[in-house]
Amino acid sequence: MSEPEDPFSPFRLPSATPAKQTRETFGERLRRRREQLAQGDESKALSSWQARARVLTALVVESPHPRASIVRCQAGEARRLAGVEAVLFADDIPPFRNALGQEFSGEPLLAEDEVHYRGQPVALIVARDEATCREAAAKLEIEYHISPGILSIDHALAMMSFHEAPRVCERGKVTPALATDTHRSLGAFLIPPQQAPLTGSTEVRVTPVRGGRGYSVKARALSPALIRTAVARTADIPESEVQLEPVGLAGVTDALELEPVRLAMLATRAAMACGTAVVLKVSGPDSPLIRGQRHPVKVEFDAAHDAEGRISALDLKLHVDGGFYAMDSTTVMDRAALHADSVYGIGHFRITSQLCRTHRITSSSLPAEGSAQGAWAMEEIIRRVASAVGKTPREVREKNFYTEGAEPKTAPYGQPVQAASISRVWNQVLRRSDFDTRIAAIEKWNRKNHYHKRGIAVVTTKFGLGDPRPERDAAAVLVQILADGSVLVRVGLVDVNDGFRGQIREEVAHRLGIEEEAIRVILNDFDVLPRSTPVIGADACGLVLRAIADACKRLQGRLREVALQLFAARGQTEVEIEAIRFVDGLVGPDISPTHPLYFREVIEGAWRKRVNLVETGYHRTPNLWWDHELGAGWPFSAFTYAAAVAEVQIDAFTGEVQVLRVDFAHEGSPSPDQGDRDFAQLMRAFTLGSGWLLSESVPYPETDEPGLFHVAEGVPGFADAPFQVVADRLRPLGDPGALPGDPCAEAPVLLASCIREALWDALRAFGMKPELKIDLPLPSTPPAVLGTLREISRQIREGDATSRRPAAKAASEAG
Amino acid sequence: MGCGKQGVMQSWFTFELDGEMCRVERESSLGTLASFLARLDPCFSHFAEHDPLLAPRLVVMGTLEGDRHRFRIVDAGLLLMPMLADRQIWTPEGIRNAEPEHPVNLAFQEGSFECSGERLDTILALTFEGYYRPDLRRQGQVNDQYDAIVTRTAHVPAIRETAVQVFASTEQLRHEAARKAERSGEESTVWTGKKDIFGDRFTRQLFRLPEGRALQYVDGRKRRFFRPETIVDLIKLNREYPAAAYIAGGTGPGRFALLEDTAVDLISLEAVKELTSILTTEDHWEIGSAVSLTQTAESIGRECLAFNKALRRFASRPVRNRATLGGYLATAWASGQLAPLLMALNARIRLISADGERDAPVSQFYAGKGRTILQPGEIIRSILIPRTTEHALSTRGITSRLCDVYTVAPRRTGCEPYATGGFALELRDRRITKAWLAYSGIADAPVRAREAEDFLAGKNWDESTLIETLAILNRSVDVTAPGAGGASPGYLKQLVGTLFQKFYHQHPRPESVRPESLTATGEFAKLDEPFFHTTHV
Repeated sequence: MSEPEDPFSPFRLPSATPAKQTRETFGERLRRRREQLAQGDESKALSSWQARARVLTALVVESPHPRASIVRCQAGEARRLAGVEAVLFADDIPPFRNALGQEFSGEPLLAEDEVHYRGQPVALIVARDEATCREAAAKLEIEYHISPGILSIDHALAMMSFHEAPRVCERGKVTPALATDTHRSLGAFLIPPQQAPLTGSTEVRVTPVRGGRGYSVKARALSPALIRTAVARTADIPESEVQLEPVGLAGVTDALELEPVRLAMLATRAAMACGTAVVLKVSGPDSPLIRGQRHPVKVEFDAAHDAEGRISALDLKLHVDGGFYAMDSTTVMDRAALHADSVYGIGHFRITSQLCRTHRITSSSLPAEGSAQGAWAMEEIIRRVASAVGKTPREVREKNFYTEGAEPKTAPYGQPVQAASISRVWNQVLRRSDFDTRIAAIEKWNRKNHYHKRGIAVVTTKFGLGDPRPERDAAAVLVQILADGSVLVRVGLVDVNDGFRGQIREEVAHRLGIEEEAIRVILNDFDVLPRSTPVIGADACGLVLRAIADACKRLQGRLREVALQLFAARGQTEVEIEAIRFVDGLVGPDISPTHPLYFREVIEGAWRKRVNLVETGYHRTPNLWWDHELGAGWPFSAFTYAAAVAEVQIDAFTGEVQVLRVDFAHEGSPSPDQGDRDFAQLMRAFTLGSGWLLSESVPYPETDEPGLFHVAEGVPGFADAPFQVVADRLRPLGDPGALPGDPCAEAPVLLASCIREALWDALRAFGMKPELKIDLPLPSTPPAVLGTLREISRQIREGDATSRRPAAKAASEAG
Repeated sequence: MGCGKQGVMQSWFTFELDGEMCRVERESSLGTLASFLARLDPCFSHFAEHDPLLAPRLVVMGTLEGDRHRFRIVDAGLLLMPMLADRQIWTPEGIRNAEPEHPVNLAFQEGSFECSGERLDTILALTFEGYYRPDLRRQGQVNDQYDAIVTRTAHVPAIRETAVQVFASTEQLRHEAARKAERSGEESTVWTGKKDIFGDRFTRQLFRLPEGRALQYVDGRKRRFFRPETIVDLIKLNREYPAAAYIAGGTGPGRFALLEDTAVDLISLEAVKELTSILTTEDHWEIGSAVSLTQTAESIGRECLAFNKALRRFASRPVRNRATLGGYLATAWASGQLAPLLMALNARIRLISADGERDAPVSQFYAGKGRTILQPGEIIRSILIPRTTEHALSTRGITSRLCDVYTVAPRRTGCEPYATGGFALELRDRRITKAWLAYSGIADAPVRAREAEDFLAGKNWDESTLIETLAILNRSVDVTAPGAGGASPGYLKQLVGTLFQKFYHQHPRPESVRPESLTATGEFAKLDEPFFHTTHV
């Protein structure tokens, strides 16, 4: 066949079968050799360049059972399969090396005699490609002796299966106080987990470098520094020999924190076994090793209150599902307990938190993990108390707020609470949303419409910024001024593409008085700055901004001296060094447009005088502490306060819920120019919370049946967003040196509870009454809502029948 | 652009990529554009990570549909390479570089969208298509335009605000162009998008695009890809290659990726004239089986409102731009949203094969468990949908026809629905002459509730009839399929009744065909508000 002429072909892919050439180049020889090796038709003896040139695939063989003993492991047939390089079991790993490290609380790298959660790595197969790995995995003979696993909190409570003794944080005398008040409300409910569907690949690649003395790791992770430590520990090499390759993330919800660490250690072990680069894969997209699931929490409460709903004493128990290996579940539990008071100043308050040991795996990689469960527990209790005393939840909330000038003034663990901030956001959101007028309008609308009902609710939250583990609350930056006055800023932070670069640029521009365009921000550079600040759970932005301020302050000090000398050279000898400022690219005590000293001139002077223009900035929040045994501490660098009003509409035909409008009043970042970024962060976090409460159903407790539902199908889409969003960004109150850098990244997750409260309000319009024993399941998917509506009508019908029966009997007797 | 002559197999084809002609040789006929781009240049490396749900990789495709040139947003991960022959593709990267001052590029320069590059690419490409859409006129359509975005990191209010501004600028442009065209009497060409009113680099190139021609391509592994032009050629090919698979829009996610290692030949229906046209007669529409859902909605949606409504909750815009009615029916999707509507519309399916033609109503097309009545060698030629104009109804003595469709799903779009109900009533004054009640998602194939339909015939359309029908539905309709998204059979059973109830409450009056609004949505979302208000002097 003759091909027609092709007059235009500006670019084309390399042809699948290249034309034969007379002489093979080195590169071609390398490629041919690599292909031959990948085909597996050569012996396994490899020289060093060949080892570098090929990439093997490793597959994690996972336990299909949540709890079982491993009776027998045989891999003879799998090992003989063409293309298989290695099959590793726990026995193949040297003694004392089969451990993931202290973050994983004693979990082995590969399961030894028992498996304790579904998905636990049992073996590693390394082969030339994924298909061969899967073929070999099918030939493995692993025999399990299955035992019934503990898969729910209730089961763990019944079996007394706990990780440690309960942690108690108490203020006042709860037990006697409970007995004194006239009204008591008791109850229990469950806050289910949420999953993190990731958008990108979750495979981990480990490549030996420097002749096998070091490793280069590429993994989608929120804390790359943890990966470096873990890989170094696995390979028994110094951490300095591990390189991290950056991976672009699409937000904090696009990667996990500890899960990739486990995978990186497995990949390193595979790479060590074969001496080549390895790409590690898991069993499938639903593997528990990459799913990342929040901690379910079971809440029990006993509250004493008056007829107005004012709570005098509350005994709160939080049972947290910590999985079998409690990774960082204790911190999650602490965070839940530390947020359980929310914005309510209850005089006698006891929070008992207990970590249950189940045969599951949990994760803390999602924003506001722990804090959301704690705060939502409190909101639920407030609503139940309001229902018991026949008041509106809004009234009961207002009665229980921390109030200025009244006790208590601190959270139960001792950190002061700003009551003024609570009332500020509360009043602002009520005013902005025109709450009272809308309540009336909704009532009127609901009376006319029988099959759709609207509901409205307001909640306010207090969110603690920082990690109860103080060692994580630190940040480092490196600021370099180049010869032309432009600035390079390196930050030890993973790049989650949430617009933080802009905020850093703004901060440096403000500090050095230069244009933002002259500043370049480099994130993800963990070779220069080994410490990576966690982006989840800590106030990463605040820490980084303060570290930048620290670096710029020292640079300014040096530049002031240079500027002073330059002024002296001009004959301006009366200039005081402290008075020199840096504004708009100019330097001086009183910046006059006629005789300006440009920033660039000062830098030129500094280069000539060999002044150091490279500075490291470092910040750690001082005086943070948290003692869980005492139940006391100052665990957060600051609190941020926010409030929200949500209006929803329920379709009684289908159970579908539409969020009509949301109003926010929140404390934004300290910078006045970051309004857009704050709003974007606010919406992302709020969407995360609303998805958790409304649509993202995760099977809990797990069953043996395969799930029919792809969890990602519940993640809210574009059309599920509220129709109207109004956000009031308030200037934060308090000490400017301790203000959070980015209060909107996690705190608004907590605000999503206003949607649930509004749903309850709409249910009341459908006839829901306090005396009905009905719970609205979480997440409130259309089947759950329609089921609740049905239950309401059933109980009302039965109630009517029972109330009619005695009356009918009396009437018949009278007749 | 060259595609070789009829009857000659060729191992190459060309298409335009970002304004440059691109020649493709021996590329796998089952490979996708996403994987091609990922290998082509490092700037496209993110195309390698494609997920139709969470990470679609969107590009804009320039096409000629009938006599209209259109930009269509498509998912590069669902587009097989040979489908691109003679087409234009603009990647977000190309859009940015080709005209940095383009209104869409300018709209997305501001910082409030700071998100990952890929995410911004998705938003940019969706806005680009919207900018050139002549039918994008009202704010309620913004959700439909952007429903491919399913993410926790999207900043929806900012996207909506920007979209409204961008689309308002297009509307203004279109109004001005229409005013000018009024003088020459060509106003309608502006509104239908037949005329290039933009005159920018993108549309100049688009309007040069010729009609799609036949293609006979063989890839490096000797797999063939045919794109015949006529139905006769199609049937001949089918006889010659009986094992070949038909492909229309190719949106069944992952279906073709699974075939990568097999030697399957493909026959594309995209260029077959008989299958890609919509015939409109006085009493029905005949929709070719290879017409995309978007195109179908553009043709019949103004008159058949329920079709537009069903599409609003169907997959996402990039999928609707490629998916076809024929493909939808042939895959026999048990919980698809369109089948109940097609049943309610009393649509028929025309099938054709070498042995001749036959037709069947949609309800008889499904054979259960993912099977249909299609015989080997048989293809869907077209779908006949009766029109409900006053004239068409009055000839049959009908005074009104009420029809609507309701979908319930875990979220608005882009997911497997729990269930869908499609309902239609033909009335003579208040008396029902015939009824159609159809459901999908409750059994292994879409079903009609025959007993209830029979009961309704001859009854008055009022509340007592509704209540009696509910009892019949409860008794006669069985839920046999496990519900999507963890929906229990009890819930699905409940929906069978409540969806019909909803139909009654939206259409209580026989004389009013337009549904009554039951929700408060209109108070919060200005769905019918145009992007641009004209001020007539």
